[in-house]
Amino acid sequence: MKKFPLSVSPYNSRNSQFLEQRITGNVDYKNYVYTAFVPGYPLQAQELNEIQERWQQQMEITQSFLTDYITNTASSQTISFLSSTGALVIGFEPFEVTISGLSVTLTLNSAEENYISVYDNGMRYWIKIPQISLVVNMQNSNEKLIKLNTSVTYVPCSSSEDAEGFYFNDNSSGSYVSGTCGAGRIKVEILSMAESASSSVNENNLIFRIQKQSDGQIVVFNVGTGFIIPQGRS
Amino acid sequence: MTLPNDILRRPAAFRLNPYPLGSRTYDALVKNKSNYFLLAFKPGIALQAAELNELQEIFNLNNTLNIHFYSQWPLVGSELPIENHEQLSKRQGILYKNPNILNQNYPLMSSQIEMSRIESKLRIIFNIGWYTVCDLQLNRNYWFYNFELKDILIDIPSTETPKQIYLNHKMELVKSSFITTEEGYFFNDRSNRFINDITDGADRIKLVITSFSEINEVDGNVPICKIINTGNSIVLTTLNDYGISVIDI
Repeated sequence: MKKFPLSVSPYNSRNSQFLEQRITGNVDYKNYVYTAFVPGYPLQAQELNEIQERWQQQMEITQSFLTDYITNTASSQTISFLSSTGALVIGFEPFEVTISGLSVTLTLNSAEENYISVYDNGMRYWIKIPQISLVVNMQNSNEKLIKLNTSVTYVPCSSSEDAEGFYFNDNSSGSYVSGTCGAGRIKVEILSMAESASSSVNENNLIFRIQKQSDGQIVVFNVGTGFIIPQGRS
Repeated sequence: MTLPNDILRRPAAFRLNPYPLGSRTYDALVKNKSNYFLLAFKPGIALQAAELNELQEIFNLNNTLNIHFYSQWPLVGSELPIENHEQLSKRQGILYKNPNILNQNYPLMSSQIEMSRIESKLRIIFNIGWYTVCDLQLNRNYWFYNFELKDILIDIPSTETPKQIYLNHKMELVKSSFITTEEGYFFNDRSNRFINDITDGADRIKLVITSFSEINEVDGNVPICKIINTGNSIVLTTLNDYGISVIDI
């Protein structure tokens, strides 16, 4: 995991820690997109460090995406079905597409450098990609849209050690001290990947469009960027 | 090209707005119709949780608009009716896909700026929505929301001299204020659900659009578009010859 310069003592930004927790096997995902400051609570130095690191990280991912996108566009990648509300993906081999007859297996790979931009009422957030798969049968359909089901929730700070918000208590002493609550967090999660009931390309967070061509060949597009995704890891 | 122009009708997009988080980004845009892009913190004034939340929303809104803008940029060329314009057609290709935002103003949808002919005049319409504006004095680019449709009537340019339309704007400092009728009253602390008029807040730097005009009102403004008479047609383009609209003569 890439370390942030403000993650060390005494600055103690928690971004690295939040993003590592999933990688080390915890069930919970820590894609916090905002530090939600609440009136009446002391301001923690590490919260100010955290928001700066998040801005830097989000900006860096945007720049990487733009470079990647413009390069792909310049190299005559086919652009089709581009949606302004679709999920945008960046990283190293973030997709894996396997086609066997009329069965298509779609996988998102949770490699460290893989991020996805999810759409939330007009806003976008880059979050880490979970490892999820979906098998789609194209037997009775010429075209299917696949979407990501997402949620955006407020996680309050908590004095209870079992609560997710316990890690928002002050940690300037090197450990989390119960009863020293600070800001909450806004968390974005990808809950699942599923076939969309809608045929509109403008539905939120569509990620794949699977098309059965007239010759029977299956083609998979990334809806957000409009690019064709070849078989295998790409 | 589409941008989240409807985001102002989606309060849920502003996740740090609800009580008690109190970010003012949404209210500034929707209620005040103001494009605040910087918070001006002052020594000796208590920092508000709402101000830190507002900073984050402003950043994320800018980042979101950049993603939308660039991810759809390659599509614009195929939408534009520029094939009749010899000068423009020479420039098709990757150059069109790399907007240099540091010295250009950009309308952000191909439908955002429209042109029509009214007898011997041209009507240029600037629709409601997001635009970027470049300030050459500060060498900065800003996103702003154009809250109302604006239009101007101009004479058809000669074939020798294209016309340019300036996006005249200025930066304005809006000071926090205890006077209820002033804009800065809105910056006082409101963590108890009402505006506490003895609790000063940070000031704001606001971008104000003064006019879309053939006249450059302020040194440092740059044109947002130009109009070229090719002899056969009138072409409306961005400053870097990116075609927006064509009217046959």
